[in-house]
Amino acid sequence: MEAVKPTKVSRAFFVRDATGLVRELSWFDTFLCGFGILNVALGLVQAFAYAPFVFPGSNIALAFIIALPGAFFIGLLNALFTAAMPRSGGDYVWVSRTMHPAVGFAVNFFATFGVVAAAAVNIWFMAQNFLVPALYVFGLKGASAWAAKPESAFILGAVAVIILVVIFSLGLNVVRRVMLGLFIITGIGTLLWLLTMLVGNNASFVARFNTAMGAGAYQKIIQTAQEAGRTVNPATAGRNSFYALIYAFQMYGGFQMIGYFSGEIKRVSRSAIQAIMVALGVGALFFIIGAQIIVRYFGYDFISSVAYLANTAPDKLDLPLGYYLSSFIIYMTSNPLLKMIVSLGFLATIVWILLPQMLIITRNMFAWSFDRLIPSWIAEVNEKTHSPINATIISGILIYIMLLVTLLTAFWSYLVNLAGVGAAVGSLVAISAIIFPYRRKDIFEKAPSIVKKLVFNVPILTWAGIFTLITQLVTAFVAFTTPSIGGAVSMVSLLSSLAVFVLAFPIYLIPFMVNKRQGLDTSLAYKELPPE
Amino acid sequence: MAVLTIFFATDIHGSETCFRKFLNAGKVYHADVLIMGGDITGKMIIPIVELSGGTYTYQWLGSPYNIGRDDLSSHMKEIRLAGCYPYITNQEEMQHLEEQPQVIRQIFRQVLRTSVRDWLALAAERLDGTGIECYITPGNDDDLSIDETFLGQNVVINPEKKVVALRGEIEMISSGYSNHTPWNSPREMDEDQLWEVIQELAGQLSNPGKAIFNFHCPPYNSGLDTAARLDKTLKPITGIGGVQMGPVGSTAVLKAIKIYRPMLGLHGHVHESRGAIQIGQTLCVNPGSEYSEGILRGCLLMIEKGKIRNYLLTSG
Repeated sequence: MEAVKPTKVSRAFFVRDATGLVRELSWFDTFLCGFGILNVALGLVQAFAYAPFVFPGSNIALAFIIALPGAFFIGLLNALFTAAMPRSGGDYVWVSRTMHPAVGFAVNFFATFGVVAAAAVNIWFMAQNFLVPALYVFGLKGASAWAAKPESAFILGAVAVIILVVIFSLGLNVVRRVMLGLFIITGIGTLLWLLTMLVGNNASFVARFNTAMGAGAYQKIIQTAQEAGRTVNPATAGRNSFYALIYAFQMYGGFQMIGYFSGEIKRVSRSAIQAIMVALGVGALFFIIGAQIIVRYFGYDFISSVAYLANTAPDKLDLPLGYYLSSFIIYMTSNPLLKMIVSLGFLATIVWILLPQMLIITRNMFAWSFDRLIPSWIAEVNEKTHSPINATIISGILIYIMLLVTLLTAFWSYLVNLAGVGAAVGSLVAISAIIFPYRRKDIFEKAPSIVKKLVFNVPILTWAGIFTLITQLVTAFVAFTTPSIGGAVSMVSLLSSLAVFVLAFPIYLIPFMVNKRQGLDTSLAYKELPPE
Repeated sequence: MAVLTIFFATDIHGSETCFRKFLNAGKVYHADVLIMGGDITGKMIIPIVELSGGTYTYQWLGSPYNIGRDDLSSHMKEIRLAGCYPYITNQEEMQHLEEQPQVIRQIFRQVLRTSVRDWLALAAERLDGTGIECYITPGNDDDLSIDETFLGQNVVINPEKKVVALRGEIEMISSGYSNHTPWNSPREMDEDQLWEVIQELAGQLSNPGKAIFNFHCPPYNSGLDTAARLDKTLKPITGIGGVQMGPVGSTAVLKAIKIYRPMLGLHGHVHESRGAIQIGQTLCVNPGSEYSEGILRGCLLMIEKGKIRNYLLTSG
């Protein structure tokens, strides 16, 4: 149907008393949800822990700016796809419906593997980089020293996984309350951390650092890094700032998830898309300004030297509480209360991120179980607690196994460029968006008008897919051509990364064949029914 | 006893696309029995205002339309396919309707009945002689006035408050009523009343453990009943990272499943809570709903020797 200039109708519709006719969320409500997902504090410390080392001379604030258009299109793609299929449940179904269920599963399986691996690494980081300084500023120096030992990560990781499983076993309401509490602590800690830097300057930091670590300690770190091989070539600084966008993308990740829950509401409208863009814009502002504040306060050479030594010669970096900027609060102020609040804020921020990660893993397991790809008992809900206890326990075990693999093996050097393969896999979602308006005209035609908007006679969803594809390909290029992200790219390492994606196909096909032998054709799950 | 294949769908809310898909599901999925679990009628009337000179105007999905008489039927079809009811009116009547909500209610009843009658005729045309059994229960959102349209139907059976035997073998009891909702929908009752209804029906079963409980409302806090929490103005309550969700199912249904331990529970009502869970020995299913996108969500169930042999949630 084609819209034309109308004569005004006094009422567009009449509704009767029926369930589900809820008021739409305002864009501001939706924005707040999305902004909550963006983890500014964690993003900043992680970006500065690696980007200045991997990409010497890179301007992190500039990287956040360069990454902004790509993040915009990723957000737009998610918002439009969700608007077209609001209750479908994300990329698994988008790709399944547009391409093939096996491809949809493979994309989702890879993404889930990535989330399990990320959760394991976050637990490791939590123990090493966030718990150690927190225990220290709370006066528990013995416990802090113990936690700093590499072997303590096995016990701390197990404790963290058990706590996660217990929280999830108590039900989603408890999870939400814990998230809210952690978010408040994180927010206060982050603001105070940024304010402390804002009211101070580099000279005050140098003085405090030297008082704590010995005269000339600040310069010594820069000098040691230079002696260890750190160089900055001004000619490559610009290119490196561009390449550092790979970290900026990682830090921006999450804001687009607004799309998932706006689908819970009656109809995704312009407000959801507006909220995604504003959340991204405000998040970017915090990242860009935050990055500038950090560089101004600590000094770029110093931060880069710390990152360089931490990643190449940690034995030469004599920092008792680790190399993450979060632990530097002990040098930034003499106020014990401020130290406690900021340290606690950072500890809360890394724990907070684990909760949505666990949610994603269990939610995906549910979807696979419903599609008969994994046993149905995995999705069983406990009769007493009404929580998905089996999926929760399995998620915890998988995270812990991945933590052990991370701690005990050279796994990460084999799985080099997981980010690169991830971007390549993400390209499939982008391709789905490009072809969706043409391949699934039946769903597309029923989508809200904003999804069907044409730009140069091409649907806006297709444009979002094209630019997301370009973004993913650039990310993959940077990942594959930057050995320091995960080691040299070799046939073995590339195949190791691809194996995770490829493994999904037998996982899809074996239950398919078993079910078929039992008389159930699981390919019917997404088979289009004729509407005539 | 051969394998009995059931296709269950629910909450299509007037979507003619979904209803037509439902009727075709028997053939595509090779199902012996089709069951629609309630909330079959739409929620919205789209007034199409007749102007002078044989033109019409209306608003649809946020876009305004001005059309001629020749295009009227195709536009009305589009509206019906999406689950809304086109209603041709004029500017004078529109003004009247704005001031007379009771007239709007009457118009609703009229269009709902007409629509269900048309659907039942279509079902009879499509399914008669195919050997496929078809059961359609009204749900809490369906006006009581539509019940009369099922009277005298041979192909489609309304199993509400009855014991029916699928293929003459498997007993099923049904209720489209739900516990109270914030919308005061037509078929709501207190949990105690709902429990009484269920008790009375279950008492008529010869073997509750081998029966199907086709209750529109899912069991309370089962994971099949998680919906957005609303404030007093019916606006979803948001928290960090999303909309706050909570259980809205029925404690009476949960109690019934725990006490009678039926083979299968068929549920709907909460569109966003798609899933299949085991409560004791009972498999409880809520296929969810994506009616507004014209996608028919459902569940294929294979029953053999009084047991669920396999199931698959579908999205067709």
